[in-house]
Amino acid sequence: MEETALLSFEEIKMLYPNEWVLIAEPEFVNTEIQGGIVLLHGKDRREIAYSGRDLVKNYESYTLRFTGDFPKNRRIWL
Amino acid sequence: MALKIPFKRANEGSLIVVEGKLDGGKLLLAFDTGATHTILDLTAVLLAGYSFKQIKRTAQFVAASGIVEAQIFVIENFSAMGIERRNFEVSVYDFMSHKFVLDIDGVIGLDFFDDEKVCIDFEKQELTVHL
Repeated sequence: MEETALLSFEEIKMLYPNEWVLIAEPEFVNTEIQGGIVLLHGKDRREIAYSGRDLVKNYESYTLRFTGDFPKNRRIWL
Repeated sequence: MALKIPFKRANEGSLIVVEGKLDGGKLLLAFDTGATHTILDLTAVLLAGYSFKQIKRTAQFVAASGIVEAQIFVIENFSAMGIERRNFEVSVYDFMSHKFVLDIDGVIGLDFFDDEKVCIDFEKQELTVHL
């Protein structure tokens, strides 16, 4: 388990590039995450979900975000 | 009461994305008038503490990739766009294992809306929800 102080999302991206990061007390401006407290990080999103289930109970809110870039200009048809 | 929700479409590949909340989990959700039902990624639902034992049933969906099967869960507290739903049935699909990789945790479909009036202003990039 890892828990750090409040970090900006830019700092989180630098520390954990191209990883899924479970962030407690995340702050969003509109839909853009600004930062929060890193609880877990890793390449396996599902593993973080299972490992993080108990951790998130200690916080009011949390989110799971990816620090890498998604393909740009991809056309989406859901 | 009218709630104004700004959205930003950075380019033509951008969806209209809004914040949602699944119990304590903050989600990014695509606002999709082309979806009949609300669909969440399995990971987000597992992280919120739900388990496979809580699957109510399965349902088939017509998706861009063909017919897919999703699991139906009853979510205790689900909210987005100023609208709160309790014991709300959502469809759950494993996005990642089907190579559906986007920076969203799901899709808000038409079933989320009841008697609300929702307006999309593309010029102002703003959703207005009349609650």
